Amino acid sequence: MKTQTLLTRRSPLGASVNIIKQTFSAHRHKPVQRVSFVSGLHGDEFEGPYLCHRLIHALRQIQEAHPEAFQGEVHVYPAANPPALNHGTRLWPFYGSDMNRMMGPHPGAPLPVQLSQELFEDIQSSSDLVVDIHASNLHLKELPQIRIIEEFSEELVPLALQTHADLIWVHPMAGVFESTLGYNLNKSNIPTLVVETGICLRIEPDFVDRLFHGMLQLLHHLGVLTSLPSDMPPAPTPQVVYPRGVAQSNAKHSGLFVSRAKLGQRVGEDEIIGQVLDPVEGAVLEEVTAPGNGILFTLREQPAVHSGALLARVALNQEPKP
Amino acid sequence: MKKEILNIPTPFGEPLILYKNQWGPESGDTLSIVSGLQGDRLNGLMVASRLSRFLNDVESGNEAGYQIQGCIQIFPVVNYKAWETGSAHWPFDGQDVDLTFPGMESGELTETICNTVIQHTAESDYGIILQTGEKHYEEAPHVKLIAPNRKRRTLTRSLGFHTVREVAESPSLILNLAKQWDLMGLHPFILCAGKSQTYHPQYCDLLLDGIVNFMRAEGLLSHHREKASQRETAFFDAQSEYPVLTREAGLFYPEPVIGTTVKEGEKLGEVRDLYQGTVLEQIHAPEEGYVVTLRDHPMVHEKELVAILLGEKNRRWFWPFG
Repeated sequence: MKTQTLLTRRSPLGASVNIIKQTFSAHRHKPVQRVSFVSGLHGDEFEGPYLCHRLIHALRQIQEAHPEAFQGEVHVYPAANPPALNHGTRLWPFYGSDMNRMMGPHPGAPLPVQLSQELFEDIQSSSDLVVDIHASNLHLKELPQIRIIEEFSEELVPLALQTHADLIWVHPMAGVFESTLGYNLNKSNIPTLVVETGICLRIEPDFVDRLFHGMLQLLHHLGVLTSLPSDMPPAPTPQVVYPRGVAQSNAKHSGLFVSRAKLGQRVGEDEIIGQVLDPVEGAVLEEVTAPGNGILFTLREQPAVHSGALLARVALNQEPKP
Repeated sequence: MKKEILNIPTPFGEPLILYKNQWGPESGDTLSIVSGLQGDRLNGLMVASRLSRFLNDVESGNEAGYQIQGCIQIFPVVNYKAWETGSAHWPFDGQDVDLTFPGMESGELTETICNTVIQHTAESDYGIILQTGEKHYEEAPHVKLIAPNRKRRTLTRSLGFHTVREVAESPSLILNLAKQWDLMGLHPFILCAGKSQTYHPQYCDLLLDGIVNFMRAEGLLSHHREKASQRETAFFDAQSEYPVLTREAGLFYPEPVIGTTVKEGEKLGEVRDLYQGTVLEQIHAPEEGYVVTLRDHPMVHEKELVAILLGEKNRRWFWPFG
């Protein structure tokens, strides 16, 4: 493994801001594929850095024991936004900037913009395929899933099927993706899978375990690794859902949401999955029901909700008829 | 007249209520003015308040000679929750409101707020957003112009600002209010002056005078004797902007050059070592230019942006040749 300080900026306080890249080179030959794993663009999402740790640990063992197994090249960027990760904040703390809204063409030259642009260029120049790993935000917990914008689904769904994710969600394009790493790499013809799993500021070891095996499986599928560890679990079959195959429940009242369901459970339409409560008056404001039959793959964890807030998403067993 | 535009109960207390002020007939030309997109940009809030008082006085006949002819709307506070915390963004969701447009009719609170503003401004002809510099930067008074064309340049001259920056098209703009207005067919103008967390009365005077002049020029406001004026205006496109970066990390001591034209080689500031106080670097203007942006926070990394110059040789006058 080769460790490279990819980008660095000296700080006035002393320590530098460094973005590290770990590279596992192909054994002897030109790499069959170059695959990059990126995590920590949002500094409060720790599932990605943990997954990168698992990958680096395993790839080092494989490289030491069976160097010939590496027919491709693997790059791991475990901490893409070190200042935010060190402070546990989603945004670059000193500026309040979101690195994952500064990818692709972007005006200006403040420090987070410069580093986002330089990171993007490096990933772009050293990858044939990218996995961009995210946890959810402060409010929602997610089953391990791959999110794919509709226009890229033909190429990406077969790759996503290798990742051991519970769900592959093909969704429409929206403005919010315009300046993200995933969208801009896909637009530049570098297939990029966006992983969403768990919730920020926490680690769900079981979710990461699944994805860890899935990422090894993906590397094997691409011919980057010719062999896999002997203790690989059997590959599950993820559910692939398209835009009409996802239904959601939103709060009708402001209050405290208390869930009565578990992430990943099968629910029936109108089954009660929680309540919104008035903590001041002691009233039950609403019974929250499942919006359809299927798997509960998103569930609200932050209990304080305003009316309209997203509480749950269900991957439907059957798409509703148009 | 103060009108409620959104009323959402909160989980623990008083409802969140957003207001707009509105004057004049609802048919005919409409100008919408928005401030308070971030919770720490004071100049816009102060201008909105002063302008509201002026228009109330006009409406009640206490401003001699003035009459309201068109529809004028002011939205003083958008990110209400951020204003409660005194920070740019609401810590609950860490979302930059100006990266959330057009929002959603029923969604998370910030999305709902953005969508409310969009719905109430959709029928407008002109939109003005009151802004200051980004965090850690002061900006000399200027107009930012989205998707510039001849009509918009002509309109801009009535705002009474000496300097106009034409914003380069970029995917990252798509979630901004100004871009959404542009897509909806409004003529959007971003009026920028000062820095966050600081009230600058002189800049506010300029903003106020400029908006009143614009309203008179476009027939939204009339005066029985005086006509609206137009002043010479310099336009700079994105290629005319020269970012000035530090070489060293340390403490930046700026020269008082904001809002002035500096000659090539003129000193913009210096960087001193935080621990020793020694001068590490003197920073000079790379060319002759107008200093539109200057670093306000002293702590700088290496390669940190400390100033933006608008190149004098790229200046395009629009008056009296327009």
